[in-house]
Amino acid sequence: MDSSGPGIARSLARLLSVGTWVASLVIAAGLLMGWAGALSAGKAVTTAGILLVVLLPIMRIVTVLGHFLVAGDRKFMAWCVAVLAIIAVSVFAGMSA
Amino acid sequence: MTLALGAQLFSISLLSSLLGGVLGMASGIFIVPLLVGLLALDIRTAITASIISVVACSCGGAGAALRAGLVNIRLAVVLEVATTLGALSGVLIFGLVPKSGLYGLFAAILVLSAYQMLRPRRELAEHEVSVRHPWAAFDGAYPDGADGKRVPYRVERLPLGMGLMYGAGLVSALLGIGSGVLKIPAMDTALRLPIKVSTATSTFMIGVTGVASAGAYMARGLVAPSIAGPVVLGSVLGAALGAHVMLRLSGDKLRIFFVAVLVLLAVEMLIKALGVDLGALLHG
Repeated sequence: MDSSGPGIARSLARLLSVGTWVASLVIAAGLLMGWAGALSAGKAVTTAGILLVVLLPIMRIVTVLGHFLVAGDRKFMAWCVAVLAIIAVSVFAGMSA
Repeated sequence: MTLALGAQLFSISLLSSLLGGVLGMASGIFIVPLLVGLLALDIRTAITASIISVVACSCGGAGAALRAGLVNIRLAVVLEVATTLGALSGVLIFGLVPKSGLYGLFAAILVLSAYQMLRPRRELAEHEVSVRHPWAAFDGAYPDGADGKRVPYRVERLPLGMGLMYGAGLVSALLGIGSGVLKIPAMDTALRLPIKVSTATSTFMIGVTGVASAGAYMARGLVAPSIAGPVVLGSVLGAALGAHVMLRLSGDKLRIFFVAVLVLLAVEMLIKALGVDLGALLHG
């Protein structure tokens, strides 16, 4: 049985749905600012929205990690940490390339 | 960037994502060939914009899948180790693969998708289950049918599934797609998951898989906000609409139409892979 339970599924669903719409609104605001003539401010706001999109799955893993921590499930905590570490290495590889 | 280009990016992404939603596929497989073909975008610019939209659509779509109780979260976390490792490999070679190689790989994935679409997914018939069951920690149950009774299922052949997931992550990073075409065989056939669980868990995982490459491409400065912004907006909206349209449309004619679209896009990518300049051919 997946002992993750419905509680964690509900909180993840809320995080992801609300997060996606917030990020989309920020991106839309940035694009509108750009088209209205505020080019550099618009670009910064759009970039912030894109960054929010990229941060969402990371917040999702951290939430799952917290859930396993509370449940005392060390094995699955380790898997979550591994995923976060691989993403960190990948971003670092991107920066140094 | 002009308003006109933004509007074009937005509508192409909206359409791709609608198509993807209707078919239950991620939108990247349509977005990249259309952006390259219709707007003459550089393929790497199209890929890095597309991967951001793939992440956004996964996050948007995972909510419903989670609420329906279909996502196997434990299994997803373990498979994500394989997909993010694949994505990391993709990030490391992204700059080294020549454009013709990216076009060629894209053509192959499109053909594979068309082939998969001609063979509808079926639940596996009752199969022999081995007495040994090393992956019991991942077993689950999902609500099925109108009465919502929970049906238990087992997870099998996890190492084979993880191997295929590594490949899916690699292709996702290289082409800016969700790689559903590679995840479906991994989850349906290798892990022997029920189709509903496999689709939901795959949608849930794509976001994390995509972040491993999207984060790297952002850090490298390869993501143009003026391109990625409208693409993300269009595809999030398209996916939300597509999920509703999917319930009403079905049938073999639609399937054949999409197979034709996929084959056409494959031909487009193949022509570019071979470096043929169509315009010069037509006018020369």
